[in-house]
Amino acid sequence: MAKYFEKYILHPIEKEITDADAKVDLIRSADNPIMDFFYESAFYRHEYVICDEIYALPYEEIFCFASTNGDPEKLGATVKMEINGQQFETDKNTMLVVPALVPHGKIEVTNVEVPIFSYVAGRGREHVGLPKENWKTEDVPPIEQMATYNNGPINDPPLPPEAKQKTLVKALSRYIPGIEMFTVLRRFEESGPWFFSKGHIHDGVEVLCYYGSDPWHPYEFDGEVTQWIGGEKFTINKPSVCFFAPYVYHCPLQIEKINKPCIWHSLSPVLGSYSSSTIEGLTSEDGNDIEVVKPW
Amino acid sequence: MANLFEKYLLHPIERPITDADAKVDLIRSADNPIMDFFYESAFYRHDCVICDTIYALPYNELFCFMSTNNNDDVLDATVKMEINGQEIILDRPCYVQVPAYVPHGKIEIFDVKTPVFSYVAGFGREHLSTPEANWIREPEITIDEMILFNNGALINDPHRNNPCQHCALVCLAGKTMKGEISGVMRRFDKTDGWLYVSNAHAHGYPEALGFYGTDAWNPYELKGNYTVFVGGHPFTIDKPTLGFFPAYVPHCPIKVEHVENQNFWHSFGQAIGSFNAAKTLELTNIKYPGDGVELKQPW
Repeated sequence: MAKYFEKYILHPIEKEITDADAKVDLIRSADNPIMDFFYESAFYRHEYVICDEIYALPYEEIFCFASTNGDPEKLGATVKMEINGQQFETDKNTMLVVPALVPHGKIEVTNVEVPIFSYVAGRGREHVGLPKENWKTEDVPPIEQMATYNNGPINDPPLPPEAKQKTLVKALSRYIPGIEMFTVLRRFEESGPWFFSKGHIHDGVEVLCYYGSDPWHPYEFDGEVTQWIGGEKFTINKPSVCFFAPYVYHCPLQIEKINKPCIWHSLSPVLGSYSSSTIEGLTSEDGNDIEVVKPW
Repeated sequence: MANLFEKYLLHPIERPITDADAKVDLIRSADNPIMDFFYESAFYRHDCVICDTIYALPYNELFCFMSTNNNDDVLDATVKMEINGQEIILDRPCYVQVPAYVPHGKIEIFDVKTPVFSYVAGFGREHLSTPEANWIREPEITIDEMILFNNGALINDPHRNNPCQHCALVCLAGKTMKGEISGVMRRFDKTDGWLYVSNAHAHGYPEALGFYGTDAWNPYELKGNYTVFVGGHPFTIDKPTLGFFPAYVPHCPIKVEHVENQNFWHSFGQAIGSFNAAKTLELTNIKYPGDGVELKQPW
């Protein structure tokens, strides 16, 4: 019987693909109505026009572009985008945060020497452009303030030394002033078990995401993770987004093993209280599920 | 073809019922996975034990009990509830907002002379108790501060002078009631039309607007007609509906086109917390009257 909280673990819809396909969709909020914000992840394996028009959303939009070969600096491809009439171009691992109402688009991936992993997200449920009358074209921060590049040390605390990982890019407010979302992209290398996080709860939504790094086998994740959600224990061994709705208890989180390098990222809001609490009594010493009471 | 935003208008699942049924469920988040917070509405037509256990949620929970007898001061039924070990008895229409982690439950409705409309909601997705080790036994506010009775006439409401509606309960978080939830309970009276909200807006937190009939014996009837814009598109509402507007989904204007006798209307939104930091965006180019604006997906 399916566990109650299994609905919060989302996987790619596995479609038939050939090596000629430039884009492989991974996990999209449009396919998962339970997600309460916009999210799409994909591999780009050849040149591709992501979007050929200009649009502006009512919320800020985060774009992440990262190499699949583990290079901490070089993307292995070029990404171009128009933001408020100016051209942005990067060939580095990049996080780009476009503020709400700022027109942007005409997004293209070119010069693909190495396939790239990408995700796009924002706190609004719908990814629809607003009428032009609402667009913000003045008092817009310079484009260079919207982007951040490799800013993670090879083994940044507080992860334990046995965590063989590289933090490629972090979008935090100290790198991109005024952002509403917090996100970190890491590459996990081959490793044995290590402990990642204790159980907790918060009033804002969060996702923890697990992908392989081989874009030619996009539906593979060669590792094993133990993730607790709502007092229930789950094993993650394929590409997954663990979506934690507000006030849904989540973690502890234990990386059991990583056999092949994989891509991991988190994403959550930073504005407002985002209050976090430790919840007692949601894990058992014998590792079994805890039954949480539904009052009626 | 269905409009992209039609999915945000939710309706009761119409189940076979008889007059002997004490509770009639209306709209529940458990039936609508698209909703990102807990919500349940119902009519109580006879005595009913709503909950026989004590529990504590990790978020505030708002209960609304409203008379169907067109009286904002007499419930015509009695609600009993235990909060932090104390029993409370309520015989007037009211909001009860229980703070996060405060144990409560054993909720019962009895002496039902006239059916009661009720909704319960909170900003967590799951309606599950935390283990007892997390419960707060010394809340920061008193039980009296958790309860609000008819205050509609006292509030400076922009629609107060409209003869076709009246406010009964106005819960403005931090102003009329302590807690993180805001909600307003109104009755819309017989009318052939008035403009309730003229422009569209969007904000960084989810909100719900409920439209229900007041006849508990015909619970799936609205006997009213509204135009509500969602995502720039005008929709006609002519049956009981919860308009669920996730963060940043543009919503409104609202035109009350026609109310045959009387309708309940309520709002429900988050007043504080991580989703309320971004300010409201006024979308002045989506207005009533108008055919709406098509909002396009860029890819």
